[in-house]
Amino acid sequence: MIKLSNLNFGYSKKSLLFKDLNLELEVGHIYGLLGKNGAGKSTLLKNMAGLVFPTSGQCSVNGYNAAERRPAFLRELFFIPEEVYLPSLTARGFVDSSGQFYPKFDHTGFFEMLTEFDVPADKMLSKLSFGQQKKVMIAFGLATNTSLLIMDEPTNGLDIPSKVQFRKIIAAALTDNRCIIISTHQVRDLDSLIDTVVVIHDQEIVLNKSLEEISDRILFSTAAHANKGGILYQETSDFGINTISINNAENYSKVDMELLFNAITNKSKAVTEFLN
Amino acid sequence: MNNTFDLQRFGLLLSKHTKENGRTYLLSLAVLAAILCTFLTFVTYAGDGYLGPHLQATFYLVFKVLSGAMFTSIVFSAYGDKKKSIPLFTLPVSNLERYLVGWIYSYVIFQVLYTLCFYLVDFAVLSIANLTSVQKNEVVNIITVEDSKFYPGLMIFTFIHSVFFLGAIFFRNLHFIKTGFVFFGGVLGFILINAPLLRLIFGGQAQFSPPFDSIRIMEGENGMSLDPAPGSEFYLWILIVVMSLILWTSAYFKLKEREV
Repeated sequence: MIKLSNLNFGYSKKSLLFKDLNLELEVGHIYGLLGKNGAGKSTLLKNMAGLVFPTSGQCSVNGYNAAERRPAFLRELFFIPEEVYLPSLTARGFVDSSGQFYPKFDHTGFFEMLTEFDVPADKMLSKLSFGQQKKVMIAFGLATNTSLLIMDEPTNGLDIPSKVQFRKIIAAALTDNRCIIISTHQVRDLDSLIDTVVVIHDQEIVLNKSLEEISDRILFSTAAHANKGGILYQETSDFGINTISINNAENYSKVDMELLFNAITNKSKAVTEFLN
Repeated sequence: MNNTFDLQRFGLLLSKHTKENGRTYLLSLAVLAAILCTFLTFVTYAGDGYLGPHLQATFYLVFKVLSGAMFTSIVFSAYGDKKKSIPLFTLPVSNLERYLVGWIYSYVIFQVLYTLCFYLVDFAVLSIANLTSVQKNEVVNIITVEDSKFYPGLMIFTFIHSVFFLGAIFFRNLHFIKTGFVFFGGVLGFILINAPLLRLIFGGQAQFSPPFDSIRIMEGENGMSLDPAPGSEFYLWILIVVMSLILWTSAYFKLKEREV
């Protein structure tokens, strides 16, 4: 679906944000793209959507070079940016003017999602709150039924009940023909939603693994339950010491994404080296 | 699927652009009508209720070029705005279709609406003036009026449009000011460089003269003036058309290369 080959990118030629990036993403998955502030999460997504062009290398989506922004490529892509812009139209007017560009647009589904999000369909979109505008964009993006849905910090601006609804709606929207990529720095928002973690750090993709594979290989536990001889990372919290250790005994533990993220972006490379 | 141009897709894009920007454009047209009304009324009043056909035609051309440059310079402003440009660039249309919507709005639709607006205001102002004036006014036909400058005016409008059209996509903000600054700076530079260039060619004997016009060469106390051959302005118009085409084409490639 998405293939990044030796991709280099920088906003200036002197300092590169990505260096020889290689990545392959497939349909049927919800990817969580994690990275520190300034690591380049949004820029990577923009490369995938053809909004910025690589300095060298290539980003192809469904066989199309993203930078060419061909209609055949764009009709299978929907990008929800962190800061959304909606015109001075009602939701109905917006669907009438923009929905027709997407051949698989689901009108009924769009209005059902708006109802679920509690957003009025007949109010001017530009007059809605930021959170409501974001919900309209999420509903519209899902209704397009494109094979690639990219969301940059989609939960920013959503209240707690809306975040729950968001997770529910996204989980239901995944099909075998669809690839959903969600970038966030609020890793807890992706709990029970994503199936694969992609971490970008120090100009590189340092991790691209399914949660299943991660939990098969490493154990997330308190120090008392850890594999004492195989501790890869540990950090102290208010509730004690949390660890990541080698899962030799085939024990199941839920992936603690915050701990995993801290372990990967920490100077210690033990977890990354073990998983890769 | 045609990835370069599809008439149905283009129609949808034109319709979307109209729905989303129509209100702003109508408001701008109303402002233009108000400005035209103010100027035409003032000049008619100053002329004891009479506004000659040449003056009407001059107003038509001057305001067309000025307002056209201003409107053209904002036609791609959304592409310079980070928030607005993302949905525009990810909409499933080709770069050519995006470009043509901007071009048609700023070149074709603008001229039609401007002409309608001008005639409406002109007709209204002159009708009111005719109620009291001794010399009756007639609404000018800008194409057939004696010594009409309609076609040269159209050429100038075309050239100015192409300059501001490129500026609209080249700059991310303050399009009108930045384009105007670069354009008039360029014109000034071109005029200033013409004199030393002529001196270089004619061995220091040529006097200052504007580009593409007559030259005067001094030899001792005797001067000789060389005027362009009759009809040679035709080549100047050709040059303007070629320049406009180059600038329009450059604008297309700039739009194609534009990143968010």
